[in-house]
Amino acid sequence: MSEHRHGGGAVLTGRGTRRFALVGSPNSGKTTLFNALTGLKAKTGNYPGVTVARYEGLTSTGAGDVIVEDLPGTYSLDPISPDEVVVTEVLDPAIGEHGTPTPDGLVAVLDATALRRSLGLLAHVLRTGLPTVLVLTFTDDLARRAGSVDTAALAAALGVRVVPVTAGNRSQVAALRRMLESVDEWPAPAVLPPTEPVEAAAWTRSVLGRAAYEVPEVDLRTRRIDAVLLHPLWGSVVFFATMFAFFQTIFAVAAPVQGWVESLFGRLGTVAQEHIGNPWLAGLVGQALLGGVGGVLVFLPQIAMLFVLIALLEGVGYLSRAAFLMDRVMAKAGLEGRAFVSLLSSFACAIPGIMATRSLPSARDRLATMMAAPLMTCSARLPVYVLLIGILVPDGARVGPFGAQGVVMFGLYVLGALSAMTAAWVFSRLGGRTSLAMPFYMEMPSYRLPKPSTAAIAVWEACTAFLRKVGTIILVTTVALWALLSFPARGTDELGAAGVDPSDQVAVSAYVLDHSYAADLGHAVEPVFEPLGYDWRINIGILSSLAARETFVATLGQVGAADNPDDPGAALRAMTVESGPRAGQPLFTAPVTASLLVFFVYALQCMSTIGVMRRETGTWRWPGIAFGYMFVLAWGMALLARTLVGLFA
Amino acid sequence: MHAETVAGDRHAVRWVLPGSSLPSGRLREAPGALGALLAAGTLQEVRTEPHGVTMRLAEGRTWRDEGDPVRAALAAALDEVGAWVVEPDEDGTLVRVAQDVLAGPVGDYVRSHGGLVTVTGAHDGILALVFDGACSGCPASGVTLHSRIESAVRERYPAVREVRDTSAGRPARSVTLWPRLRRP
Amino acid sequence: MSTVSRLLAQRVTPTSGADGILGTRTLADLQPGDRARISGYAVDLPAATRRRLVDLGFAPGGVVDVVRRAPAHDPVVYRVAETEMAIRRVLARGIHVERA
Repeated sequence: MSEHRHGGGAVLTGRGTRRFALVGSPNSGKTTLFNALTGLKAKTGNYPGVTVARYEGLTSTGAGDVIVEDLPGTYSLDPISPDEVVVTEVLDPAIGEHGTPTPDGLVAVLDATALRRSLGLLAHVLRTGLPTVLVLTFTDDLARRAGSVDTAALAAALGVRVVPVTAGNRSQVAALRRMLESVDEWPAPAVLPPTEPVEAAAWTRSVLGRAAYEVPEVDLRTRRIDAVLLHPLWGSVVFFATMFAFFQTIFAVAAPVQGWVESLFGRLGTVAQEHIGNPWLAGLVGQALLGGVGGVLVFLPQIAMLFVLIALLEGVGYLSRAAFLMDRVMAKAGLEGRAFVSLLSSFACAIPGIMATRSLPSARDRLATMMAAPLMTCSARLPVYVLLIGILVPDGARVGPFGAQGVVMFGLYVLGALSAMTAAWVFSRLGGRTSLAMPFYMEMPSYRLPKPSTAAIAVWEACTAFLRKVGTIILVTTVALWALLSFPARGTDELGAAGVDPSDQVAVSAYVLDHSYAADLGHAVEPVFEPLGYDWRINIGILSSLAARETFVATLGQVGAADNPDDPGAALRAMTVESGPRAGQPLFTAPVTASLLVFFVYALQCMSTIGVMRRETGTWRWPGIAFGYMFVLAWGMALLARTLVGLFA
Repeated sequence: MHAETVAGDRHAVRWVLPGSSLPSGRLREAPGALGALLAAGTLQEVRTEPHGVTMRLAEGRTWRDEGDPVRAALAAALDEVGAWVVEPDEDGTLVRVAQDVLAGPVGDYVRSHGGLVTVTGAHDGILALVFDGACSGCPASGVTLHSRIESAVRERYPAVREVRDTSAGRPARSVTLWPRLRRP
Repeated sequence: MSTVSRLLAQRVTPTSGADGILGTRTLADLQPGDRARISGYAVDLPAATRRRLVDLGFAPGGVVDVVRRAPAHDPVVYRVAETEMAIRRVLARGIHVERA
């Protein structure tokens, strides 16, 4: 048994190990079944050549371990999106070679309450000729809604074995596992089902009749809940309340945890610096390594919360309602309801938002959403906003009943969201006015209580993926930054010649900083940022933030601490312009601070985002375009902000 | 319509036709493509029953290849049932239906109780069965078991009037439940 | 392209001529609570779209109930084949219906 995790090919391979695939429509309970079969023994990867996630795992049967693959949910083997194409290719023995081995057997997962429509997909699946067994899910829901089906008769009518599996019923899952042992003996249909719509409908009617299918009544519970949640007025109220609670939870609940992480790493950093003799090593470990790792982990609580909430909303069935309510608004930006989930996720971090674009069938929509997602106010911007708003707006200032600082923060969020929608609209138009192969459609599944294990597994996978992607980049950036700010190191002779007392740590750090490689870079880009009112010290901050926004605060903190280690904030406020027409005046005036804030609203300052965009689009072109247009936009809007605020301040 | 396997015969398939009402017997001639398949010998034997048609393919042919064209031919021919030439065989059809039923889940149920049921014959809508194994000398609760056989048979052959237990050593008795309340 | 996909892509879906001449009723003309039977599709609906509608349950001969509309009357939730499916007005306009 070998495991491959590179960009293409089966995740799990092994000679002689049987392989099964789960195929079914979205909302059929397929993934819950996959988790029940494979538990935590699942691995994720990608299908070769496309950015479609691949889930494979092992399950143990009496005849040894077998591989189980959870194929993307699909309504048909007549595909309209890349993930559906993947399903058709995995199921075609003729295509089976390069990295997508054909399964030895298929487990078709059908929702018993939606049997009439689901039999359509089953007909397609049976057409492949691969050995198939049918798993009927939600049979408990079927009974609750006064429906019924004779599974033995259904099996006779279809020519395949039928196994009812209710979520959480271990003996039924065990029965399925036993079934997997005997794939060579699985019965097959005598004649393959028809595909032409009229004949297929007749086939479905005939099969359902033979199986004595009693149609389930309308799910009254779902109907009643939807009467509120999808009500034009109350539905919107509940929606906004949910969104508000969403953000409150992410920021309020995660905040204390973030505080602990920050103080923990702060303490670790101090300990490291005290105990490591070599000052460079101390600095490297204390500031760069621990600072970097801490900088990433600080965001983990928020990201985890985001994933938990999204997993719960999706498991319950509310996300499809949200997409339904937001579709019209999304359509104004040239997108569709599903893009809403991407953009919503981007409020915590653009990376999960960009990954969520995989669910959009249209390539044009995927790109437009990807280009817009980084403009949503992500959590990395928060420390920067907090720092700059603290400089710009006095603490006690109020706007009506609200704190002025809070109002400005809210305004920045709104600005980010509006800009994202506009950017999506522009890229939609640019993507061509091709009539959508398939305009937005979305199934409204019954409301169900999600299984905690399913949500937990989804969150775990998402968090580990996030850590892997972000951790490396931020760590590398922080170390590089530290190096640039700390070198070249200055010998005592040099210090003496410059009039700096070598025993005065503060003065030494200030000198090293002022003459470091980073400082050279900061001076070098002065012409670009001069119109915005930034000096070389802010420039260093901006340059470093291009890799990761949160480093801006750390950089300015380092710059400030070089002057005033006890109160870097005061040092920043007291900074004055060194040369030029404004020499002697405060550096962080209102117009300059405002322009800096606006710069951060628009600029793409995140190598992790660029990396993920590269992976999702398969080329450097789109991340390059994103970086470019956002830089220009940021520069222009920052200039505008400086000018406007300058008129009023 | 859909197709089901026939127990014990890989080359045969039974087309279930819920909306149809066909004469029972052996199909000799049929209009259109179905008739052509019959005449050419591709379809070796075709037997009809009220709501179904059982077909056997000639040796060397598979249902994987012939399934789609046969389905289309059958669907077309069903529009002209009047032109079908069926050699009537009511009794033989009833026997076949009963044997098929006993080979399926109903028969499995009987066998799971240690019973053995054999079809001995049929005449004029009366089906004769012999009950053996745990069934012989069975108490009144066995009636439930027998009525299962009856309703399964009736589903496919509505004209069945009576299912009779002709086991040796016992007076022939009808095990048909409520024979007069049910209409064929 | 897989063998089955190729076969499925050849499926024929019935189209009706120009709407509006005799006022062919479409799904978009119905109100919440209405019930109708799908009779065919508009000619200007792409074939792939029509086939996907069939796969979603909006098949010719199928019964459809109008459940509810979004605040701006677009999209609309319909009940087809015992499932609830939301589609945009532009799609609903392309689905022809008759009395159930």
